[in-house]
Amino acid sequence: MTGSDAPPLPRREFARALAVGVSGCALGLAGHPNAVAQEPPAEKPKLPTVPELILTQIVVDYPGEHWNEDTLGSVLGDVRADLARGRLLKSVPLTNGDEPGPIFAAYRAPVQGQP
Amino acid sequence: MADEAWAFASLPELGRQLRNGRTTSVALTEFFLDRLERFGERFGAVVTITRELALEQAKQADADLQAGRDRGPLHGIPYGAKDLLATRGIPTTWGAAPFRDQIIDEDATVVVKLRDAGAVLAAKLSMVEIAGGFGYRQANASLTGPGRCAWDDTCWSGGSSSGPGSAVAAGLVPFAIGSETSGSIMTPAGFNGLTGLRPTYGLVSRHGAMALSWTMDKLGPMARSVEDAGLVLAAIAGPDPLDATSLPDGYVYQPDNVAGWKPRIGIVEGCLRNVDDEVRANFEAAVEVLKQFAEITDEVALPDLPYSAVVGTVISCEMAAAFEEFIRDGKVWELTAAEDRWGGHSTLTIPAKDYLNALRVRRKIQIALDELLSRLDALISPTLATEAGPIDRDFREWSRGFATCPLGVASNAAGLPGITIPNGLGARGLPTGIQFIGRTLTENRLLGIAAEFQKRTEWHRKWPVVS
Repeated sequence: MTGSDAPPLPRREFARALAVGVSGCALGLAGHPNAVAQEPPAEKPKLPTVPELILTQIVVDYPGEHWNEDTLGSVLGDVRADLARGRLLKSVPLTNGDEPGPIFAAYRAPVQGQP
Repeated sequence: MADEAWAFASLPELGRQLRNGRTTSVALTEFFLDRLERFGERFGAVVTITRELALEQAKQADADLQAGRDRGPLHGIPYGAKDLLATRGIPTTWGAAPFRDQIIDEDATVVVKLRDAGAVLAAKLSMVEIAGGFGYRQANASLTGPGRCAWDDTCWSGGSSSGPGSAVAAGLVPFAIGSETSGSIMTPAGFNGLTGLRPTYGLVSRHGAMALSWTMDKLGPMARSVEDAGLVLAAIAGPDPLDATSLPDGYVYQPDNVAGWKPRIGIVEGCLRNVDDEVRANFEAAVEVLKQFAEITDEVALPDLPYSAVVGTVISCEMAAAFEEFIRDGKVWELTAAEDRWGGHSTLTIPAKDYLNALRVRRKIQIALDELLSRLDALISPTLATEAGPIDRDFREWSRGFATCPLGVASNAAGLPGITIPNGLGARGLPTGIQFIGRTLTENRLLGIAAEFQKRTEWHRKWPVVS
């Protein structure tokens, strides 16, 4: 099972987790040696999915007052669509020799007075 | 010529009026400035009317003509520029509220070229904010409000070159410059019954144009006939040292003459499956006209490649780089459309390998389409699946996805030229169009075919009543 196939964390729960700043578990802080000892959870916590991790990265990287359940949900949908596009691209057989189009060329500034 | 007739006159006709002394560039410019002021707001078509600059350029054009300095077919003729083209000393808003006071201290290359050709900049025309890159889903996505169709101002003008679309169709300017990353010339040209020309990638310099996607953006004419579009293209095309992707090829407007040559035209497979009845009927009628001078092949299959995934990934990643700071500093939350405010965020995390894979698949698209078009002079389909729809409804409720088949997105991925021309009216009396896509740098071939169609039809001479 890939991360993106894992059971999703409910969006409301995820938004709440982000809002109170405990999304550290998604970033691996729960296992940090300095983490405060807590009662063992009744059941194993669900791991966040890849889209949710990416959403966390976005919210951490681009913090703001506009994040709420609706906006988070919309961006999460966009993230899933972006990942789906990446999977679709991989469905085209590409060999090592399949290069991108010419997006880069060596450069030398023209010398004044010379063609 | 009666004053009102000027509004919809062709560029050669306006040129004749200027050269035979029946009018002056100043009079012509005053006429169009007046129409821009009277009707621009009604269509949500105008951001800035450049009255002072226009009259100064018009006086110069008149003086030049009197002194025998004729700069060619656009000499003394007013035009509008989509407001993503930089103009020194005049705001360039990119259609977005956060950039409403932005002044870029240089002129875009196309603006310079048009000035050199004697054309008169009358207005900066409205557009969807940030050229639609942030994922808008309804018409109210611009600092000037929804762009409204020239034929029915309760309907959308199309995007992202909304202002050029409605302003040219409403006779507010004789021609305009639009831009297309994927559909932004063809869509408003189609909804407004214009001739819209999307040139080969690199034929027209992008220098000074807002970059949404460096490898996808193209600038092109939005006009009222094939001839007008060709004349404008000739003025703006050509190499530019300020745009590293501009092609060395120049361009001369010499449309291929179909007399003695029978163009081979392919109808894209499935392009009539998901269209309005009138769009289908108008397309079929247009094909009958084409059959009078062309060899038509039905049901031409496009190569089976993920066109939308390639275009979506390329635009998203390049836009993410171009607008990362805009998102980071929070200005993005001041955009007009709610969905645009968060729509760019996910693009910031797309893996680099996905971008490069998109470019690798894009190469395959280029090769496959070039091979297909080596056997045809043009591929055709309806430009859009419907007439223009209501400005107050989500696109998903009426547009049928806009495109009738992957031809538009595929040809944008490959950087191929395309032209849309009007071919009839729909159930609500709004224009429908047919698009022609050709091989790289076959603009004159496409223009030749489209010109022959316009010789045999009157759709490009029908304009809305604007009063």
